[in-house]
Amino acid sequence: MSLQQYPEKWIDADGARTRYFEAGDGPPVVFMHGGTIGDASGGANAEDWEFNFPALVEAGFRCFSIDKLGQGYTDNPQRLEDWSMRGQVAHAAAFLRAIGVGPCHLVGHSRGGYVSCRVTLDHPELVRSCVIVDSNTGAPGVGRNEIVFAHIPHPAGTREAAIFTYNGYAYRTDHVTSDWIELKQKIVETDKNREAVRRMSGEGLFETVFQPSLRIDREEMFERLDREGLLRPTLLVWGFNDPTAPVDLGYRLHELISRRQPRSHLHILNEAGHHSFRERPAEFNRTLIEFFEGVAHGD
Amino acid sequence: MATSMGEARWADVAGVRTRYFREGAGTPVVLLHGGSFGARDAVCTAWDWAPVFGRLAEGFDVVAPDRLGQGFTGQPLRDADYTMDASVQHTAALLKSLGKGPYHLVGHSRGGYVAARLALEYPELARTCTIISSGTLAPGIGRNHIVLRNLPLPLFSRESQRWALERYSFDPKIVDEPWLDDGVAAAKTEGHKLAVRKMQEEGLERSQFTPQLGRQRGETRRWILDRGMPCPTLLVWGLNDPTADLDNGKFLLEMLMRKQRQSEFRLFNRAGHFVFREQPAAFARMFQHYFRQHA
Repeated sequence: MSLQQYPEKWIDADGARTRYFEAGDGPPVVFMHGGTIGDASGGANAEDWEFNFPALVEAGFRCFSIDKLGQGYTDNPQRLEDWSMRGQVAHAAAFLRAIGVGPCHLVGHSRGGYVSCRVTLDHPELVRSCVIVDSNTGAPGVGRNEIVFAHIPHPAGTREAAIFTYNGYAYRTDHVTSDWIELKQKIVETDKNREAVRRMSGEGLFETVFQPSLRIDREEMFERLDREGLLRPTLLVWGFNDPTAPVDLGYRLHELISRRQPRSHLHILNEAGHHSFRERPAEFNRTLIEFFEGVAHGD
Repeated sequence: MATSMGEARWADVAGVRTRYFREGAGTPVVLLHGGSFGARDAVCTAWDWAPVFGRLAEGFDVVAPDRLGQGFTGQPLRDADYTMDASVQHTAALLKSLGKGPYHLVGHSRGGYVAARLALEYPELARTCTIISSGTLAPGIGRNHIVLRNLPLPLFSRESQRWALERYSFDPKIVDEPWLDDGVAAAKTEGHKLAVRKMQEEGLERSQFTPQLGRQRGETRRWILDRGMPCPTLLVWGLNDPTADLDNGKFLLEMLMRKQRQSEFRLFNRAGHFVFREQPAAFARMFQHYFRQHA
């Protein structure tokens, strides 16, 4: 399975040529993958949602899945300060304005969960509801990535490094298919991605731009979640066995969001690691559909 | 949406006249309320489920009994049956006599313990098992003795029960009159008075009920850890439950997750002990989707 059965589309979002998939009719849902710009072993992109997008189309939603700024096949950032989560948030908001389909259900995973949360906080008029999946970037606390991935025993950018990484994120590795890894390797090997790796690692933008701005923005976000709150119903989905974003982070983030947003839920899936939506797609998709229906009915 | 249970039905379950409500068609669902014999704070009955009963009956064959010695169901025939085990066996006998199944078992609070125990003892009766805010099944003790320590007298009066249910809730306004009507009427029955006499004055709670439950709680949790639940299991908790501590729920979750791959957890915001009464629409919707996936 992949998203290749759906039309691949391109749109200009804030000057970046942006790749996305679109299909279905009904209330709009926008999927936002995780990962970091210029990650040599990552290659997260729109197709990470291959087991979810079709089910939501089938259930009567108009689905979009994007390659975030500088990831997948979407252009790299032009401005220096946009080599950051801040740049990805601005780009995601620009994408929502560009497609112009009204307030969307945002579904973000990991770093993409930070984006869905932040867009909801900064631009509630673009958002119908907010879903955050296994996100340590979006949660107050620390992830375990630096322990789990302390030693990747393969050269960065190789197929072996990608498999090691995605297996490390998983509880069960069935979802780490060779087709999926091939998609990622194609991305990793593009000139655009090599350029992103060179700038983030070689030039050091990860340490000089990405991390400092994210540190400031996260502190501000948690403070605003406490003080202002999210203005849209919010669902958190977590894998019980997430090795990098432990489930306690989900409880903590939910506790923070629940103070101001009455319609907040936390749903935890068993035998699921960081990609809970890929490891338990039937349960994940059911939970999303139920939540979106509830939002529509004002439960 | 109006909250109602429809007409009561009656069954003879091994000599005990048993009240239950039943509506709808489809895969069978059974809803098991909490509490136990002669409870002092609020008298739990099938009416606890009123806000979700009708909603679920739109897609399922929903059965909601009064458990043994509670509500309008008769008292145990022998003193030795003032136990949680007898309550479990009474429920099993009712479900078998209805001739349907396997059921989506749903239990709240002490009824969550009953649901889990039914699934473990009679896996053929269990299609799925949902455990809601069950401090009884979870390790640790609840906070009821703190939250409800100043129960207004006289016990079992409308005022006393209203006060208790308000303390159990995140939003005290969910305590409506029809709910109180049933609990107050149940408290006035000769059966309830007998249960209070047996449990309190004759001391069966201390001498028999609590020790038996203690032994079986330990056994139940070992079964969950060693064998696992025999069916998909959903644990539900209210973030604001004043009595069944969320930390206890997390501990139970860890146990359930150990052996049953198809285990899930849902935490509702703005919900006290009676999660389904505080968030009835969202709650019923969750069930409709969950039950359909496991049809």
